[in-house]
Amino acid sequence: MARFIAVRLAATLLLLLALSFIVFGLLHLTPGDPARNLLGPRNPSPEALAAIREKYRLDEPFLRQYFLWLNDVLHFRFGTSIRSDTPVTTLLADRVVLTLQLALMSFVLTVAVGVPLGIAAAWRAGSLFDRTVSVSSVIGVGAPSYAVGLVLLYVFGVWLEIFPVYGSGDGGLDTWWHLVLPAITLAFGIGALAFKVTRTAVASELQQDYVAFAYSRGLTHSQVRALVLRNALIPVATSLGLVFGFLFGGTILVEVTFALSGIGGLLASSVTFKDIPVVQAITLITAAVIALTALAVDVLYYAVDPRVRQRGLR
Amino acid sequence: MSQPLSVSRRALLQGAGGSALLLLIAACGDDNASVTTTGGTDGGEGIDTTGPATAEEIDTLTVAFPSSLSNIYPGQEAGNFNYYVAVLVAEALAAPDSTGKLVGALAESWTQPDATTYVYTLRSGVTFSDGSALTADDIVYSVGLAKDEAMSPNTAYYWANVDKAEKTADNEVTITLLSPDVAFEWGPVAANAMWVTAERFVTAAGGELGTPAALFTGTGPYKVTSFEPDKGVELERVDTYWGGKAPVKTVKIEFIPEETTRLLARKAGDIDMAISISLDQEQQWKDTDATDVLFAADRSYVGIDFNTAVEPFDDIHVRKAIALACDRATYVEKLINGHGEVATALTVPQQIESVVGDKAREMLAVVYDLPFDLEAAKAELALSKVPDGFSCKVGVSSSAPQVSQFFQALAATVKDMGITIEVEEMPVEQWYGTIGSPDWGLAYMWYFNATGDPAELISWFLAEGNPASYTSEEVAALLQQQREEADPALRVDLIIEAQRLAMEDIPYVPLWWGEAATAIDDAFTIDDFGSYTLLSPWTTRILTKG
Amino acid sequence: MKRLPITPLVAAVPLAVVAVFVVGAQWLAPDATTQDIYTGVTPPGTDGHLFGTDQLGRDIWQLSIAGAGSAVIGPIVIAIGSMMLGLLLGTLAGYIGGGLDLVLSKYADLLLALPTTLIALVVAGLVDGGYWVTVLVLLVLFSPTDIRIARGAVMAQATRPYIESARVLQLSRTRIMFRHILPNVLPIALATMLLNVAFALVAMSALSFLGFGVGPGTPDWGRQLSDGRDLIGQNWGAVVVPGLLIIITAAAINLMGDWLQERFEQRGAQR
Repeated sequence: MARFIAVRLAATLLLLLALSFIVFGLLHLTPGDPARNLLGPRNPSPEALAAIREKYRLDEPFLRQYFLWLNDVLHFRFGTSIRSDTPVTTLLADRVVLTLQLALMSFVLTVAVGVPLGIAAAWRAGSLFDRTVSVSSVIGVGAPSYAVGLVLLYVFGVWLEIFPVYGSGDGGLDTWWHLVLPAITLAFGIGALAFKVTRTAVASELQQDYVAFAYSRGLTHSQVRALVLRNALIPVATSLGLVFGFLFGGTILVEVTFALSGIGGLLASSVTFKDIPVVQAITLITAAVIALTALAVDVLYYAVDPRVRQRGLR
Repeated sequence: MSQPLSVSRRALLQGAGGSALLLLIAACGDDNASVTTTGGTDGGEGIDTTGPATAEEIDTLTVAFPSSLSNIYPGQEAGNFNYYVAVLVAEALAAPDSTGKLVGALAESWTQPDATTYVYTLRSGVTFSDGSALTADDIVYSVGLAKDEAMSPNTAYYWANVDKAEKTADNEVTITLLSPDVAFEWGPVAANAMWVTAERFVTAAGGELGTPAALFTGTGPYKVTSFEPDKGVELERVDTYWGGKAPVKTVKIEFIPEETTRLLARKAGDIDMAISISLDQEQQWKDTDATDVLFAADRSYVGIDFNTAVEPFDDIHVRKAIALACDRATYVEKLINGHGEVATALTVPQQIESVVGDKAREMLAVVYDLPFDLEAAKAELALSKVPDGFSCKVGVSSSAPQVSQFFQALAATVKDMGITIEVEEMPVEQWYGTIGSPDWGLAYMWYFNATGDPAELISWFLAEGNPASYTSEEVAALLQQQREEADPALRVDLIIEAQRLAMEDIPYVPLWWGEAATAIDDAFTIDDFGSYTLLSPWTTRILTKG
Repeated sequence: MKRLPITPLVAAVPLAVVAVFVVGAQWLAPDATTQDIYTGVTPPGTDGHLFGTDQLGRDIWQLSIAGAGSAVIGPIVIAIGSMMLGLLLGTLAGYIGGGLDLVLSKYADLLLALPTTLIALVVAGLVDGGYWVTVLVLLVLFSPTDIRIARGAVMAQATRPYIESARVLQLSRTRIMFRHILPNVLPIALATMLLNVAFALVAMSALSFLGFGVGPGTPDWGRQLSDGRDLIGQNWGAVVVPGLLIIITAAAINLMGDWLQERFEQRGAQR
């Protein structure tokens, strides 16, 4: 087990390394110059360009720039944003926390609503309830989050005046309160997905031979139900782990709609500005969160599924 | 959605995704300058806001900006909205009054013993927001800061012609130029290129000025108590401000990039004021309870740039054919909902009104007046070296949807003439690269004047290195002459003559001068709201309606 | 599993309509991009404009019909492309196994660990070319799921008696792969493909909404949604029509994909 985790961590590091190089390369190969972007549209003076390039080490050759950056990152120095002249760690600290909070909250909502509905629907497959929820879930997957967000804002923010309309509040509970509507918006599509996965897993488990066998041996309905659920929820848990990573990387539209300062909006503006240190930091953090969640899921999988435990992990 | 907000020193157009970028007004007693106030619930026109207003204490004013700031020191990031915050916190030697005339700020007065020397006498009793006194050394240091290319990439350019700044007495600073330039007076202005601070604050900030960890400390009526990039700025009144205590105690500036969300925030009563609202949502703001919408010219210029060094735009017949195909009155009416006026020159009227008063528009009308005439456009194209038409592309910043629509409309108009214009939308930074580039013969400029100097735009657009690659010895001579002309009225004549002469060759097509809308809770009013309001300490002018 | 056959019918209607839009746009919406700036924005129900017009006076309904193409074609290319890529790599990995399997599986793991939306945004933001760049990026990022499915299915099939007998008959590896294994993997791959179309449609309209999509003047639902945002007070049709089209199309494709998947799984289970 320890070896498995070590190997996976090493693989994750390699992945991050490769990703950082690709993104760095893309930022360099594509047209545009952050120093020029900082100086605006006028013909910039060569002195001004030189001063800025030197300050942000943009005058070094490509590979050297990359290795300087890598060396810094290995020493936990993430550099300074070119656009705002702010250390990347300062810039990202609060945003990563906010995006994590948002992802966590909508993850909880997704699980709390999607999974029970999926179980109930599979249990009564083909019923009116099943069909109603199934069809609505399919609509949820396709609904643009911008539209969902504005409808929720209008109903719960302006009309019913229950939730705040924008921003992330003053920290603590207030922030969680501000994140309710954004989290629901984000969970709307993913929750539909969680419902589908759960329903499929439980339904296919119900078709297994052991179910009929269990009934024939006189097990009660609730006993069989518990058995089915235990087996069905293992694949569900695996998919849900991936869902968390997806949520973490998919907050941008919701951030824009609700005026939240998370990492998605910052990435969009940093990409077009070619603010290299910021783009690098955000892609790496996001990829790391996703990779580590996947690892956690596998470890969990190992812990709960006796079959895998016996076989051992790859 | 939010757009990166980083623009030229002179506050070029910047905008939040769907919305235009915009601002304030022109007024100045001219009939054409529109300052209208429209009421909320009853939706009536022209409600009088000039009733008795009182300077009653207002505890908190919540203001929503349509785009966010990533740094509050404009030397680093110089979008319009950076300026609106900076002018509350910091000051410089001079400042514009409500008509755009320069008056003393930290300098009580100044004299000009010769064409290249400016002597500023400092105001006494001025303190920074931490209570320490302002000295002449701080002024000298601040000039150096604004001139430093690495610390202040957006203002260094402006100080290139400055030879030195030195303390010549305890309350006197002398600035010497390399060559005469009348427009220099607009340099040491917080609305443009200087923000006075002290060396100790910058040292304490560790060189990271304007970031959340290193807030900018100045002498202004407010101090920043917190700044979170992409979220908001909180300001607290400085009770020891030399100009007196403002009515509003706490100003909360919130960044709400999505226009509809901002409107809903107003409907829910969460914000008191919204700057630069989307003109497309004008009616919805007016229909919102207890909300007034103020319109005013914003001193912006929008127009086509032809790169006259690039084929086929090196041919004046081609340029003239395109110019004749522009139905400018319709663009103003439809694309900016009538909130603006057809531009007849590079200089906007509000830049010369403080000198020539009501005659501004009449004087500028002679610069450019080609009508919309498709037949003439076709005839003109037939005379050119591409009589059957041609294809070209134009790059438009995604923060300028109205400009994108303009070029799409123009493309539809000239299609019959065999001209194909392909509109490419791009991030604002990429758009910078199209200006004056040999790859983009057709381009545009959306320019916000930061100073009140009448030569602001032409000192770029008609000078060497201009985006049209336009050269004319006569124009260059006029340009040099105005730099040295001390009499304001004569100087305005020279400035107008220079662009009139240049426009005979049509390197540019002026399209419109813009207008902006500000929404505010109808319990408040903004005293003497004008073109220059947001570029002076505007929160000190917010009063409670009687 | 019981499922009324009504599902595919319900899904088929909107899909057929969208297909007609895509194929017949030039006849159904000949004036989609025709501008009339003198008309400008008009509300739904204006003479001759069922859902009104936008700032350039373009008819919202015709524009939406013409927008079906870019809404659907890109996602279809993504889904088919990633399916082909996935099938090819997955089948190779599953059938040949060994080192190749390891490499390809790791490659799939690598892609799965990438934040799809963010990567698409980074690449589309940096590389000129808008729409098709986004299509290419999403195609690559969608492929790991297909690789895994194909690999799993091939491994399951490879142990079946009929493959063993084919081996005994000394049929070539390629022949076994293409003639015998692929047809068995295809149904599940097709169902996945449909679901991918729906995902890609939502992802692409989101990117387009954020400004990383088609250029101005090109009819596109995501772009219409973004352009129409501020117009909602003047013409609600500008937002509601493209918004509903996205929802309905994605939902119909999803329903169809689900239904197919269930049918194939049932068939597999019965065998």
